[in-house]
Amino acid sequence: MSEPKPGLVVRATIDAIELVAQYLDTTLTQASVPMMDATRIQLAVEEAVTNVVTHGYEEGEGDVSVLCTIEGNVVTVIITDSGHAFDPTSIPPADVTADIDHRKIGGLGVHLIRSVMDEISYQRIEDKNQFTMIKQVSDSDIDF
Amino acid sequence: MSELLEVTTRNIDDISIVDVSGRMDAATSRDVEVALTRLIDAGTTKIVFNAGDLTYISSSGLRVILASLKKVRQCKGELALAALQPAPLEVIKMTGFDRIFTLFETPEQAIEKLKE
Repeated sequence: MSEPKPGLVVRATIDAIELVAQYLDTTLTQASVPMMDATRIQLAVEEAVTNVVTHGYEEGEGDVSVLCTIEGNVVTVIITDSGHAFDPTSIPPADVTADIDHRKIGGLGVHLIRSVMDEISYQRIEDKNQFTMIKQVSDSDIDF
Repeated sequence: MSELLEVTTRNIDDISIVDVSGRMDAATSRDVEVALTRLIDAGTTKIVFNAGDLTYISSSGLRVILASLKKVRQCKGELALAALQPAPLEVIKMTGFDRIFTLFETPEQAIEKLKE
């Protein structure tokens, strides 16, 4: 399989969050993706990138790449890093019915990714994590 | 403070209103955490989180408000969410946080409730 061309490559630190958000905003706006769909995609990507920043490397040691492509109404985002092997699709679903005393934040990020994206998949390719998320966006600007 | 997020606090009687504007993400949520912690540590037990200008919240933001809610409820207090916009409201509902928090359409409604 050929290596995906990176759209944005940044150090996997907390500063990556804003840079990724700007990259996505530019890409999705240029493609006229409706605002609510764009926000949902922003959310899913932030959750995935935050996982890399938080757990992927020893502090500041590696990069994360984010590639967002749009074909017709389908937005595909591929997040690649060379950190510890981590499969987001293997995280058990968070219990979103738990009361306040039993509520955990762990797993909520992946829950949000699964909730807003249509398809997610993970591969470990030559010491790299490759996490792909796909969403079909609506035609109309009227989201709600 | 990040340019992407602004947090201000005001008081009406013994109720603190935290006005949050912009994005609460992994990078910016810390600023909200600082503001809420400061209030709670100073003894505030009635807080209205005014999300009228909050455009975005991720799980990092949810962590902050959940932690603050737990702290105030330990002191028999309350942290109410007000004026959630469509995108953050969707996140609150997707994660079941609407079952944990009390939601209000406006900060004024939240303030009236907390006065009771």
